[in-house]
Amino acid sequence: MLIHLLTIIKNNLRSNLLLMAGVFVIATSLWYAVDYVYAVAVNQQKSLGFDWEHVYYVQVGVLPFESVQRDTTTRSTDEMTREYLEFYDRLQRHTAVESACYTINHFHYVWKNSSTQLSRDSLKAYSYYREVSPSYFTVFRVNGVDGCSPEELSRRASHTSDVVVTEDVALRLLSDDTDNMSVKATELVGKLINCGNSDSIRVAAVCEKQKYNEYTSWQGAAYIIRQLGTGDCKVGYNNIPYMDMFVRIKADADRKNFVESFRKEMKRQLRVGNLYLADMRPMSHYREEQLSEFRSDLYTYLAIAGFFLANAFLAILGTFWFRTQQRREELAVRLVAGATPHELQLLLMAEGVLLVTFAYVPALVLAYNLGHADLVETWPVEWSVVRFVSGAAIAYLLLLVITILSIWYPARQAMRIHPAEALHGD
Amino acid sequence: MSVEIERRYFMMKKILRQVAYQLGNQPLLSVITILGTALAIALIMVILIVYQAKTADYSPEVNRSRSLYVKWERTVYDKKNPNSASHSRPSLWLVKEVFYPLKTPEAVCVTYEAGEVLVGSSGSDEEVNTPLLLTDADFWKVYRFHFLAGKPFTDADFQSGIKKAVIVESVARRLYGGVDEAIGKQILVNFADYTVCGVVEDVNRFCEFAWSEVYAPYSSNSRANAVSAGQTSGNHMVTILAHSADDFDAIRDEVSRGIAQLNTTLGDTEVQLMGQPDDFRTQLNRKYANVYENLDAAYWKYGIMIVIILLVPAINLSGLTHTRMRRRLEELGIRKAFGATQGELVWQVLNENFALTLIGGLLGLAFSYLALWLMSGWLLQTVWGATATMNVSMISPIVFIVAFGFCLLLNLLSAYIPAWRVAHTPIVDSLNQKL
Repeated sequence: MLIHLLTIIKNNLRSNLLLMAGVFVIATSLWYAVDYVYAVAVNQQKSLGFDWEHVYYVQVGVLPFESVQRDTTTRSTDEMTREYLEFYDRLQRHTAVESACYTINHFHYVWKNSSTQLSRDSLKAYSYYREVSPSYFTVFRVNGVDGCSPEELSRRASHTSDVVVTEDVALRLLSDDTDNMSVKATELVGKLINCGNSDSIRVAAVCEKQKYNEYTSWQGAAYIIRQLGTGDCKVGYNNIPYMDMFVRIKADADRKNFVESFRKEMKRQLRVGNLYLADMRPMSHYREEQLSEFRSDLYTYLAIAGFFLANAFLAILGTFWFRTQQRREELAVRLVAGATPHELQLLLMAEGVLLVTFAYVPALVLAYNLGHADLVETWPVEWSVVRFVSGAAIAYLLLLVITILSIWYPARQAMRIHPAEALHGD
Repeated sequence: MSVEIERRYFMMKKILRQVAYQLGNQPLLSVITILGTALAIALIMVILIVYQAKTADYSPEVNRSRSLYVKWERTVYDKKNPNSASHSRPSLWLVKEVFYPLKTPEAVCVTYEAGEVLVGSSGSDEEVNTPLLLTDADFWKVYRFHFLAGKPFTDADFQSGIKKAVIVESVARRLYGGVDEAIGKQILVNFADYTVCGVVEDVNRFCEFAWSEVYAPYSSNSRANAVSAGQTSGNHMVTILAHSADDFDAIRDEVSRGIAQLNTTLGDTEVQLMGQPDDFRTQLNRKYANVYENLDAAYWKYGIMIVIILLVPAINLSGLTHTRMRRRLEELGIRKAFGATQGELVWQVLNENFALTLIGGLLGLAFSYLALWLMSGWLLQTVWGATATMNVSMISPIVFIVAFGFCLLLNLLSAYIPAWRVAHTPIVDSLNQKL
């Protein structure tokens, strides 16, 4: 059967080569798009590490010098810090608010970051540098790596200047060999580490791995605990605009138009000293903004895949439709010689599948080299044999489905050939 | 004139007749050709129409083609260690030292993105979060807004730091219930009192420099107006309007002279502009402060994409044309026997094929507009996940000419080789249907 098919293909070599050239380009491009989508899908399986739902961002504004409402009497940093904490308390006291926190240099979904190098003896790890208040973990529902609840994590992290690190960072600071399964991330708790060039700080807890957003990989992070009003931890008017406040709203209170009614209700209450509620938006707003850029890339690759599949469909359909007409006599002879119409259909499909497979082999070689040379997107999912095989298999299956779909119509035409009519001419 | 119209009418009729004939005679192959072309043209045109919308001159960014931009600066703290650098927007001090004194340009304007502010009117409880853009008086010269009421703040207003603001229509309607009603009214910007002096049409999101909802002089804001000598990093952006694009080189020279001069006074520190000022197309790719190499790589990516998008259907269609020609070998052989030259035959095949390509092209263009309309959230995306709206620049003659050009190219790619081969088949072989 195979040799027979090969002979048929060889006899039509010239037009088959043209078809194969087309399928080769299509297959390569299709694989590239499928590979991208596959990598995104694999990355989606990794947990996000935090929960953004029902969380709102609150921006605290400081009245500008231009405003006549600004109280221009001089204030100490202590007083300004007290104003900020008063604002924070009033916010927290609202019945709809479950918990609240403030952060510096850390805001998921808006690329507001800073990073640092952590070290412990000779072991080093790069990580995000995030200053947060203890309740951060409760607001964003971050669990401890040992499975402890966000509330418990916040309790453990209640000491200013302590640090909470993510699991991946902890492992890197415990052992050279990050694949060493016998090392438990929690062993780092209570140990001292260095952050940048600063004095050593105590690890209060280890939390689960964190992504920055759904499309990024897990990225190490160190949460430096800051509690305003304790020790040297203060904030002045100049720095308040750089602080971010987040509140978690009780799920049953989180209705449509929540922000509008909340702001109307709290407008006067939240005018504390020279501070005011400048802006309030759900995290979902920032999430949509940031993810739309990633999604747009994803859609582009899907569109490319769709375009090439449509082209493959048209090309194979056109070629085979013509071919069955041209080979009417040959197919009629087969019928006379005892082939059933179904066998005829199968023969044409097998021929198509074989052609596509031949074109797919060089495409695979090119694909492998593209991947090997890092010309595909290797972040956040690294290039691996599994990735190559999976992407190649999916692309091949898609091509096969298209091939069978496109040959279906011409093959049906062939099945309807009446040998007497077809052979009449000769 | 009437002869010309008649000729065109005749041409159109001929093309339509050919299409009708081919559709009737070889329906499936013709439909495939048309759809294949339409898909390719639609994809290419979506890319190009969006590019057009991002780069063409239209209000308020009417002067993109003769403007230069400086969005970032790089400050090296220690000349001996070139990596000890920070990247930021230029500071007002840098602008005043280097850019405002420029002689060659027609105008230089400075913008300061003050971010989202809280805007309200003193009488009512209504509050809106809007973006605020702080700028100077030349801004209204470099960017041409359509004023629905009132007028921009003047240079005198700017110099005296008076608190006047121009707002967009949607904000005016929300706060004052109308456009004319807003003029002369008080507006609270982060609790500071401003007076509305003008109302402009809402700005398309593809105008990244001019887009905002409230505009005010930066001299009215102590933070944006602060100048401290030697401080190079800040939050300002510069647009330089040249008399014409021919002056770009002269302006760049003048800027680099200014920077070199400034650097002699900075001791160990050195300011670098990383190749700026950019023309509009280059600045589109200069998104991040610290990425300044291979800015044109993005255009290469698009170029390669378009070539592949053209090539794939071309190969496929070429196979189909080849097939169609084989079925008509007899006819072509007869034509040849009656004296048609090879050139004439190639021309005939190309011509017939072009009719199909053109129909496909028109269909494709229609598809692309439909897609832009239906999937605007994805296709018309701008910075920070915002979506622009369709605008006039997207339906310009240039778009149609470019689409037509790509049809011609696709036609040549897909039909020339088959046509040539058919035309060069010996008559005897043609008549025997051998190729």
